[in-house]
Amino acid sequence: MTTTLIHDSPKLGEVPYEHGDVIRFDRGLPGFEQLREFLVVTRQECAPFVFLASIEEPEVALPLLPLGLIAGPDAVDNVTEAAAFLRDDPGSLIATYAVVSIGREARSMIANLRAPVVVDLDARRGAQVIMGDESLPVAAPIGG
Amino acid sequence: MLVLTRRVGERVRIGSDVEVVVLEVRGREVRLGVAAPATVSIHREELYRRIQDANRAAAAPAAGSLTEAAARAARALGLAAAAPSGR
Repeated sequence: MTTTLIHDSPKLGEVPYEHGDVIRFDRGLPGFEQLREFLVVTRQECAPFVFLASIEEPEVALPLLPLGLIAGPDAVDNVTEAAAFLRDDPGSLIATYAVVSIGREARSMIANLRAPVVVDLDARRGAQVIMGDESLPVAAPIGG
Repeated sequence: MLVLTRRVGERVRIGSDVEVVVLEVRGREVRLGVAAPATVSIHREELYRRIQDANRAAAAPAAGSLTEAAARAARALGLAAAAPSGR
């Protein structure tokens, strides 16, 4: 029997979830090194954005975009390979995202392509992987 | 902080599986080699700080609601993709 919990996020509202939805980041995130438990929250009206929401610090919610959407399939392949340490099963389902800063009025958006967020959806583990390719920008403007 | 003095070619071991070796000293620059398992991430400090700053900026309160800002941004992305070339 599963129990539905409620994550009360000041930024996302009430987010129902089950224990199995929690993604564990063993290393936290740069800037939030102490945080371990997150949810990937979707809101239909915000698609393709999703949000990485901290359970331990509800104020912390990072907008994410699917990496392939803004950097292409080769980038996804490279990141998946770099994140091999995250996987127990080489065939596990992996999601890759770029952290995005949404500027005022949503006119400017900056995507971090140097340190994508990787989630092993089967193992429920995640990490922000700093890529070795120095040509990848930490702050890439996206959108028109 | 533990402070050690090493010469070129000498090493420092951190834990059981991380090793740092001084490869070359040239003027004010020191070349270091770091051997560590793939599970240990190794980066220049300034890059890590930039990523910290980027994450904090992404998590900073948006003007108005975060979901409203993301929805507007998503529409903007859609509009940009649909815009005819040459505009």
